[in-house]
Amino acid sequence: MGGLIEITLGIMTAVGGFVDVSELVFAAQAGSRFVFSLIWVFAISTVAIAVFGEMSGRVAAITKQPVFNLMRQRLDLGPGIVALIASVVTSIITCSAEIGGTAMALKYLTGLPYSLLAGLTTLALVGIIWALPFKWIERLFGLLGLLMIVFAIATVKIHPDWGGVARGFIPQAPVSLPLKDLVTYGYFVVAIMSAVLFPYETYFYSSGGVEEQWKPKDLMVNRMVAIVGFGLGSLLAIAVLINAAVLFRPEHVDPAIIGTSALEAAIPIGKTGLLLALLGMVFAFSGAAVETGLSSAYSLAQFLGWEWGRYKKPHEAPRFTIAWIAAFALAFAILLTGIKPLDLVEWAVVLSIVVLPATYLPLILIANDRKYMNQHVNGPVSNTLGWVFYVMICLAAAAALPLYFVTQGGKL
Amino acid sequence: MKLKPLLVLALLAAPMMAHAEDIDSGKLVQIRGARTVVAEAALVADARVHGLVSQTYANEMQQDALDELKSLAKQAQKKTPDLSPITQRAIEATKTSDIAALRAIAAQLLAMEGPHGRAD
Repeated sequence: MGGLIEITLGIMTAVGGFVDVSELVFAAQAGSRFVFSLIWVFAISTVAIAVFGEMSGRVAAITKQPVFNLMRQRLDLGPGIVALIASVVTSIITCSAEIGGTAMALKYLTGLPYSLLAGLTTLALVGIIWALPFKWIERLFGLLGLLMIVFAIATVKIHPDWGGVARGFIPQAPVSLPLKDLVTYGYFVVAIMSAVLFPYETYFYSSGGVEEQWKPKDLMVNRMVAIVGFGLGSLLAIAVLINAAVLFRPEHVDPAIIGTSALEAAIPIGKTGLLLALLGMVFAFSGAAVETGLSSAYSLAQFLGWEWGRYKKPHEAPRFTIAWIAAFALAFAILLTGIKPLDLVEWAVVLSIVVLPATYLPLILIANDRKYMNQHVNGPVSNTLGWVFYVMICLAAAAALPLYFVTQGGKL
Repeated sequence: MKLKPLLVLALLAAPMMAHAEDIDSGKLVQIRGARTVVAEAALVADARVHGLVSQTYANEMQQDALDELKSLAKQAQKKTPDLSPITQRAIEATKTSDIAALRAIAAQLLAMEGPHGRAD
């Protein structure tokens, strides 16, 4: 019974924590610009994050080491440092975007000034991380993030063309589009992959496995959370895409303001839908801010061999504690420069995909290594899928920067 | 991990692809940006009229749309003067929540995107 509760809570937490500001933005824009034709990218990327998430949790449970420890062992010092810097920078930019997104959602709820709300959000998140044990930090935001289910309820209420939705799951390249739109479509493919496969998710997930002292008996929970939790979470992102295709596209809206996405729930459900959507955004974005802020400190501490972990008291891991507080301070400082959260989202997504190959290669290598994993090495399915997705990630990483510049961040 | 070849490929491909785009791309991005903000303002104003959103949300969204349009108007003055009067009209229509005017301006901007408009 206890195991079932653990699995259920884990799945619910993964569902509620799946959609962050970048997924919301890109899903809404993808739907309004290309109708249902990018659903397959969400579907494939979700299988990929489930495969890599399960792998990183399994490695954490068996080796008691998170992903960045393994990167340090498997990469040469030079590439290792490049990967470290890139991942920390990406995590802090993403953290900034998530805090900015949270503050925007709070602004639409309260009417208070954005900068004040960004400051209060940062302070509240630092306070929550300081005060709560790791498991409850994760569950608090994940479970309250379940309010985002209102987007799926809205999808049912607007009666989309379900046949068209189903066809969207088939990988496709709309070659009939003009070249410019085709290139922008390519940018969205890469951006959605990056938004779903953000490297911080693996750093946080595997570090969480170590924080919660997972053992081989926890492998089933890990597998269920990765497959079912991420799978159901992805359906919320797909719901946002479908709603945008049905509600925004006919109105010529390609959402450029974060708050517009909340209309997806308000139009079919009314003020209650708007309230739930905005509250869901607050908790989902702030949960992602916690994950990214902590991930940057995890990466730094694990690479440099510092004491780390929220299961330790702050004075037992002082450099780690300073690192995560500094990460939040830097993220807030970025917002004070006046950069819009949506711009930060674009930069985070492009930088992330460049970091991804360095994140996942050591993971696949270790998960295949019997010296570390004994009988828990990758099976043929996760191994094949892992390598196929790894090649896809490398191709996407190579294309990310050219596509970003040519399409001016998907605006062309 | 061999990251270098990927980076080199990306850096080489960027200018080649950038060269392939035509000269109106910057203008097109501005028109598209203006069109979507105007359309978003119309959608919010319409939702307010139908009682689907709170006053706080509608006011904040209206202010965000105004800020975006003012920023676009400033850019348009320098780079695309023919867009400038349209963004000014859009600012006025957003201030008064004139749904019909906002929809008409969005349609005008969509037409200006021409053959490079939205994928259908």
